[in-house]
Amino acid sequence: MIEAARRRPAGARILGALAGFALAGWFGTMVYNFRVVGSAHAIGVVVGTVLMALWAVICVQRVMTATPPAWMRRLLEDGELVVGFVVLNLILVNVFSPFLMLLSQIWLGASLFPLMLGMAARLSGRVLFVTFVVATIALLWLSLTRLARHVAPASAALRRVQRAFRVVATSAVALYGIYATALSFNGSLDGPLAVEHRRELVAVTTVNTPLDFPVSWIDLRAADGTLERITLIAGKDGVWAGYVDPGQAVVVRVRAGFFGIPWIESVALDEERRTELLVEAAPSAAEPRRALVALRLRQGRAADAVTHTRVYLGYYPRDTAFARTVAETLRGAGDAQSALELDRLALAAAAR
Amino acid sequence: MIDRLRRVGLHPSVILALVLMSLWMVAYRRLDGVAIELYQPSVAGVRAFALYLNGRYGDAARAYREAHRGPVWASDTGDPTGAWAAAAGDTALAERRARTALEAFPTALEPRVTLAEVALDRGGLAEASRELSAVLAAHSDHIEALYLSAVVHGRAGRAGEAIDALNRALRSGYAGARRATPFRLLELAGDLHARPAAERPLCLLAHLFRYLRIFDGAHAARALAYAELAVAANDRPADAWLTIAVVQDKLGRHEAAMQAVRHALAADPRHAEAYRWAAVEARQRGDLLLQYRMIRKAFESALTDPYYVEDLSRVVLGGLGDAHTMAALMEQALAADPNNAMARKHLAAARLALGAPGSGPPAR
Repeated sequence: MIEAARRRPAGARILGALAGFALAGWFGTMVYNFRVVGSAHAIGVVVGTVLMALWAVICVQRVMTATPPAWMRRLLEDGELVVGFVVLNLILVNVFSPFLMLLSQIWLGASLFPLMLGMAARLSGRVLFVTFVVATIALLWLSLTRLARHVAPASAALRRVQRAFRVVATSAVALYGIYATALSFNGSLDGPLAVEHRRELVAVTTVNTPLDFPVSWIDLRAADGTLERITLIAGKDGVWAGYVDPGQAVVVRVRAGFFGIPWIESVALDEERRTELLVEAAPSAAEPRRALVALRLRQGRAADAVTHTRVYLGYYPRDTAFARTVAETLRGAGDAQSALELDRLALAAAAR
Repeated sequence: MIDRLRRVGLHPSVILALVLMSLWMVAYRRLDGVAIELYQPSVAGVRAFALYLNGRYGDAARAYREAHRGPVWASDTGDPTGAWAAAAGDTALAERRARTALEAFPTALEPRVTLAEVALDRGGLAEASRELSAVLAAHSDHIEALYLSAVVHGRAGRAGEAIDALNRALRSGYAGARRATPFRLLELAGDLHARPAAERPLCLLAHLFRYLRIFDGAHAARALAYAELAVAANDRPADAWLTIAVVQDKLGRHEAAMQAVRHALAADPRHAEAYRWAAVEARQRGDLLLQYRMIRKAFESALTDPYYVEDLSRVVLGGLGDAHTMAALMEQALAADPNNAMARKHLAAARLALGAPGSGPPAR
């Protein structure tokens, strides 16, 4: 069995590791997006991240320990001899990049050349930085692998440990995949109705991960005083550290789930409350008042919609078109009496 | 040793590559945020850059000015105000050109700024101050004059006036167009920074490094450190907190920026610029209500300063569609200063939105 594994071509081993990494990432995204209620979401995300990191390490290890074909081996041996000088040359070229920038600025005449010079000068540092980071990691890894081989040569026991490690890593991805698929079906086959819970924001915490991907969670207080913590989803939730303050009203939309596993669809600032506060702060402002009327119409609160439209017409009597639009909406919703009242208001305003 | 390394599979060339790459990456991280203005392709420029990297900012600034010296290629017609001549260090030519321009156009401002630069180069603080006062009396937001005023006040030991001038100039978002301006401020920062710790004007240094951050991101840390020291020493704490807020905002730390603005406003509840930065942070969050409250407070804290009217209009008329409030606020500004042309312009816009003489629909 061990011999069979050793006979597998290097490409297949590397592809296998890449597939493991991609699957861990995909399942992790599913767990991240279909956020279950409680601490299971955070645990699921952490497990996904650990699995991705594990498979990334396996991937790099397989690339570094693969036996290259004879022609590439010769190339690599030669490359190893000259790598120091290549790096030195690249650094020297980069040192002159500010002069490329100056040259691009003083170049007379419109042509692509100064633009390319400028771009080369601007990008060379960043490209070289990324290249050096990758090359440093690769060379360090290679050196460590060789050192490890020298210190502890391959043995049957070591191979058994490696095999056990592979089995554990593969099983972990498979189990995680089953969990992620269940969550995915639970969320995507769910009914359209979501229950909105109003909460008060207590705190938002963000931790910047080394990969420049911030992880945030939010602490909320319910009306009965109980506290809850929710992990935030980047690009989906409307609450983010640095952009909200404690005490702000928040709406949490929770869905029941197809398999009965409740999951949180979104966390956002309470737009209704924000609009009401804007109307309170600037009573003569047209935009918030119109937004509040539209909101009341959506909520089926016709009386409130009429009241706010009346106030609006008091400030902007020439905008009868808005009052008529509101009246039409009410008529469409079967509230002829409220619509008639608004028509009268619009007529009275126009006559002023 | 090399043979032993080879035996374990570590080629010396690989180790050399690792060392070189590590050193280069460290250097790159330091130099990445340095603006092109600090690279001068000459021997004097390299010396200046070395002094700069060594933290000797005063000497570095003087070396940079030395590196700028050279023949003035621009003719009298190409450089009528003498700005280029002043930048190239030819003070006599700069003065002649500026005085000729002033004879032809006595109300021109740029030649006066050149005369102030010439006076500064000759060490004549009083004369420079006189020229700059004349410029600022005609145009209170003249950016170049404000930066040079900060240098004059800073050199004369009037840290408070220097901070006011810097704050006023920095709110424009421009670092100045004259070549020597950043180096004059760098020189001032370096000289003040080189003083014994007890004699340093902490808040002014925080503001100077806030300005220098525009040219080198590494100064952000220095600005923050000096601002924190200024807060601890009660040296214009509101301005120090504002510096912290602005630098944190530039570093993308908006939560910390908002916190700092709150501290600034707690220290001085009439600090218009702190209110404006609170509005900037609120806009960043998409919080229109907070933005409205803060920009209105900024405007009300500095009723005679036309600078805040444009931002106020963007929020009140543009964001809220509140022509009534805008008209009322502009009338308030005009009552405080009937010569406020900006307020007059926006009052007209608000009345137009209301469909004067009656009330009409605001623009959607």
